[in-house]
Amino acid sequence: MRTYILRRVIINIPVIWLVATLVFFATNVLPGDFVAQRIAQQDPTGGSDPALRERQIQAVKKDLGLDDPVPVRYVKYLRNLLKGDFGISYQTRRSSIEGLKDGLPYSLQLATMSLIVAILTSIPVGVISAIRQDSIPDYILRFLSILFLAAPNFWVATMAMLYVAQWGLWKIPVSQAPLLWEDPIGSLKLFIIPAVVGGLATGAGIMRLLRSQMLEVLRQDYIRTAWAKGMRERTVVVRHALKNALVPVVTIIGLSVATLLSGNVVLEQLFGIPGVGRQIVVAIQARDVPVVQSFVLIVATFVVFVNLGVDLVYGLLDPRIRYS
Amino acid sequence: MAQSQVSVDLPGVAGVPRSLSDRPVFVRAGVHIWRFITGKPLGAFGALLILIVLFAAIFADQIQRYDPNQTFTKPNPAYDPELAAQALVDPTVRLQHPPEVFEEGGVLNRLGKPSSQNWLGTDHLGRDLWSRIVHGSRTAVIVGFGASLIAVTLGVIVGLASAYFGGSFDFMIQRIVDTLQAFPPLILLLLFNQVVADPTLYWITISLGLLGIAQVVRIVRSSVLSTREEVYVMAARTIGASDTRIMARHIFPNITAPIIVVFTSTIGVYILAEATLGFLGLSDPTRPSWGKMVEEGRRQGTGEPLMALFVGGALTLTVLGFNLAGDALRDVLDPRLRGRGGRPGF
Amino acid sequence: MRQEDNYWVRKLRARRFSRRHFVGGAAVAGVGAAALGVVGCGDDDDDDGSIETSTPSGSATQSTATQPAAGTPQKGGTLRLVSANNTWDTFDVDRSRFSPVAWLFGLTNLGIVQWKSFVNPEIEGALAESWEQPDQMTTIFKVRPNTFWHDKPPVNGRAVTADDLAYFIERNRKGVLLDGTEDPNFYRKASYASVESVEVTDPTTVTVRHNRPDPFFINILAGSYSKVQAREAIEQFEGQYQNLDARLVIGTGAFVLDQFAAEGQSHWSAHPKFYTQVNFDGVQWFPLFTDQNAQEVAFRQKEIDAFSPTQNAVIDKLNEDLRGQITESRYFSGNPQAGTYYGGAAPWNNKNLIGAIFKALDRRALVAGILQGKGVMAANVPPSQQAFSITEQELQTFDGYKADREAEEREARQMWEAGGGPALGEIIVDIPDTWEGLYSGGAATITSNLNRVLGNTFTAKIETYATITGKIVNQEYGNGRNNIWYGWITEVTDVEPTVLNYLTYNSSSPQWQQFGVKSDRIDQLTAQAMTEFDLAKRQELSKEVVRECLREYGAGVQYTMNGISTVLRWNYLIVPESSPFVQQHMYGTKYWFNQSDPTWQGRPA
Repeated sequence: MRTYILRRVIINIPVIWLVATLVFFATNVLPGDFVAQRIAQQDPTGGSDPALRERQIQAVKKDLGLDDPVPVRYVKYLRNLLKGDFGISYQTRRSSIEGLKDGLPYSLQLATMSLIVAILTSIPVGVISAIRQDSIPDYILRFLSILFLAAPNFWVATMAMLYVAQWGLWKIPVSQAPLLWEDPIGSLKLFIIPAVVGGLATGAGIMRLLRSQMLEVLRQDYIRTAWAKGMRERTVVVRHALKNALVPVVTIIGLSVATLLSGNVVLEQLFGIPGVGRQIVVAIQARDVPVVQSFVLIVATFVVFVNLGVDLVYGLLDPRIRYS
Repeated sequence: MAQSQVSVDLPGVAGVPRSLSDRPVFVRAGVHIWRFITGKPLGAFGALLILIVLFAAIFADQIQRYDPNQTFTKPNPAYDPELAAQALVDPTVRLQHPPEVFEEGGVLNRLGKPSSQNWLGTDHLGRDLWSRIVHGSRTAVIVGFGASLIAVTLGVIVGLASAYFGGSFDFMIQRIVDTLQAFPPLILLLLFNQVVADPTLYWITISLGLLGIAQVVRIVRSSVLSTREEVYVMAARTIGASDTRIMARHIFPNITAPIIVVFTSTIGVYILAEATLGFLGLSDPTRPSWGKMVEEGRRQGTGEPLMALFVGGALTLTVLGFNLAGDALRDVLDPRLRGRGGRPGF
Repeated sequence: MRQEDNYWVRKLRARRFSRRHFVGGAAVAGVGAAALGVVGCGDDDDDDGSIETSTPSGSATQSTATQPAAGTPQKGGTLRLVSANNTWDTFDVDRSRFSPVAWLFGLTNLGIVQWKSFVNPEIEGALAESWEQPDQMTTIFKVRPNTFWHDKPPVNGRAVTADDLAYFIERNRKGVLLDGTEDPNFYRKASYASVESVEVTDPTTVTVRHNRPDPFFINILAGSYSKVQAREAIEQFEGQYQNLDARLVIGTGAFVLDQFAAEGQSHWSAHPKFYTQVNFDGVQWFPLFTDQNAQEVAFRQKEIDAFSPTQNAVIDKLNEDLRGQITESRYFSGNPQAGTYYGGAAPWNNKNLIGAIFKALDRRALVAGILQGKGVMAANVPPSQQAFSITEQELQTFDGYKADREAEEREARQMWEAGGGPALGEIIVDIPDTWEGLYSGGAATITSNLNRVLGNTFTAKIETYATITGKIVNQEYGNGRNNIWYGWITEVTDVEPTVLNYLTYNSSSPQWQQFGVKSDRIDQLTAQAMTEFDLAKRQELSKEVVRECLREYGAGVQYTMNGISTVLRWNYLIVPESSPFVQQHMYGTKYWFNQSDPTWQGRPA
């Protein structure tokens, strides 16, 4: 068992290094670097002498450490990473992960609420759809569920928000973005629309998977035995079928934990939620390279560890896998 | 007696019932389709929607009423010639009155209501919405099919090779695929498109396709892993078949069903992804794109919801169609899911 | 418009009051509602919408009349606004060039003089209570008594001295850091070149001697970045200003910066020792709402006090729903729209070709479509500097702006073919990504317009501004390439166009190299304007430059139009006047909350 774990861990290290390197070179290839972008936006044709402008750009670049050649920067980058230094954001001049740390609670709250909505809607619908396959309730439920999946979420969310504000149904605290523990009622008022819009869409995906899994399980012999024994439908479905059908579903839910870190860009932007997703988009568009690099690296490392954990759990559960 | 017994087995002779396999192709196809429609009405509805969209995409130039860039005007009763004359000399006059006051002749029919001239009304630049939606379907179909095709093709190659050869090669590929899949796809899209720096339709399709490889690889891999251990594969190897031959002739046919399902189901996802890129302003500006149009309509707020409603509706129905059809296809192709389950006494 | 006195031609009587007539362009009357820190050119998303995305900063331009002031300013309340532009370079205002910094410092720091009004253009004293110019080569400032710095270390709330003003002028003139190294980031150094020496002649007087008569000196001192900082603060913080920390901002202005976050909320509170009443308890900027819908919701719920919608449909709906409770003000956008090209080599040195493009663009259609009707066709001098430009009536007599579009398009086609246009094949039109993000469909409008009239394939390509600027500087729009671009051009920061005309169109200016269209007449006109002291004559010269540029089909810069922006404001926010330019310095003293207005009810505290 120990060698199994050790092997897994060791093999993941070069993967992380690979990701770090890929990220570094990808972000360095981004055209229109930060400095030039800023100056150009302010002043496209240059109210000043082009040579002077060039000097100004060089001065700022020196300030940001962008005047070294690429291989030198790469080495510095790796060295800093090993020290735990993720660099300074060009935009905010704070540590590049500070912004991410600030945004994390918001993204987590949105993701958790969405997940709750998704689970609460998808499981009953998936079960009913499976046990009443090809019946009217099945059609209606599946149709509605997929309808939510199919509608562009940014449009639905916008309309919902605007109509709520227009009809004065409740006050949406867009400018404060309160977290759940800061102001529970206010937070719910803000997060409920994006959570529902996002959750229903995710729920539809889970529902379809659950449905197909249930359909498969319901044809198993042990289910047939249960029927033959005369068990009630509810017992058969919940105690025998659902438990087994949920296994891959739980795996999918677990995998989506990794995406919790990244936040839902669209919904965050629409509702002014200062989460991680929106920050990353802003950073990419502004060419704030340290922030993008840090974020990508952190997510990648997190995913690698999650997968490692999953592998270890499988190894624990199924002895055959340990020796493969 | 044996000689008088002529073609006892011929259908239609001596009361032998005809079977479906004896009928000509068209009849067979018709019967299958009919069974599909009655057996899986949702799927049939989805297939119908897909056909409508495909028809619109292919025959866009024929069923459009106008050129998608043509603008329309409406009469302008608010025109005030006196104020307009003043404005020509003193621009601040323009700041004190709404713009219609200064526009002579017709004014651009922005966000016009549906009328006999414009069936679905006009967009924010006064262009016919029906024509633009029809042309937008072309973009949606190209992106959806194109990205799906790329994802499936590359995904099959990678997944097949990875699962077949196994070992550390498989492991490395899996780790990379897992990492890619965990990334918020939007972020990867943004990065990719920024690197390429020119959001044309083809780059967007390619980047979406590349993103989708991970999912296909996963599905293909699980299928291949089980097929790899089959006896006939072992037999083929024993007689000296090359790896390529084994992969192509023996393993691949077993995975066609899940591939088809993935292909159809994810088209909807790619279409929505393109719409989201449109929302962020990253879609191809030179073509009518549903995503961009929904964003343009959405911006108008609740005052003029029709444009967003129509385009959003078209988008929703298209994605709905692909999803429903994909689901039905999976129900049909996966033999484990046929029939009625969950009820006693089958 | 008033004809102003000319100081340096006549000897003036010494005056003691702070009222001075502005010498430079008298802008057309019209109150600007403003860049209340709100969008000037709109934004999405990023925005980017969009995302994100932020556009060239909008300062407003001339605008409509606003509400009549309802009595004497009341004190109280915190002003809440959205920050539309979120690009920061440094908190050393002498070395900054990004508008949000100017906005921030407008709240926290006073300059030596400031704009009292842009509508009836007038400069008043700020840190200088009054000034006089006994002769062309001398300017004498009297320091205002009872002014204090903010109470932040190392300045710690001490009184303002004449030395502070002198230090400020000297620092900008020299353009060097404390250790003597030259820093090209002192962007306005050239404007102080006329200063020969600065002297503190007595504790309340600063005397500036010039090496040449300078008509623009007072204007420069009233500029949005010309804010005085304390010597000891600079000495302590010089190396840290790029860290954008709130404690680095120490000024004499109406508000003290308490809290700053580039991507978060920023907060100011009233300066307790400001020399006059500060009408607000504080100011708050909210996190960047890249999405207009979030801003609309916040505005409806009175979480922000003003809002600049970009879409007519939203404005109409708000006006309808909130009739009688909100006020709408319109102003000319601070970012004119244009395209540039390099005219020094083929293909765009061919007047037939570039003229054909100039004529083919249907500017009226662009205004009607992209700007939703809210805009006006413009030449190189925008409507915010109308006194220096020709009337629209006259503009319509020039190619490219004529009312008879059919004839123009026919002529354009003929010119195009005469110049060998069809042989050029595909022509690429670069469009900035932020521009297309705001004016969705604009790229398609322009290219389909050109395609229809000229017949070639004009293809739109979305590029970042950085790329476009790089190409402009490298003369890549033209010069052997079939390339041109359209979008927003440099924002209007000066009240008169004289200096910019010289820099852009005069062949001896280094900036002219980017465009390369040589015209002796334009050279002569622009050079003459730079040394002309009589305001009326400068205005006439500027008008001639406009006409010449039009005859030259843009002379490197093809202007198209100038938009009109709208600001909606709740009635409780009194804004007696707004200016096209940075006017944050007026927030504390000229804006106020009318708490007896019925709309004040329901505003979150």
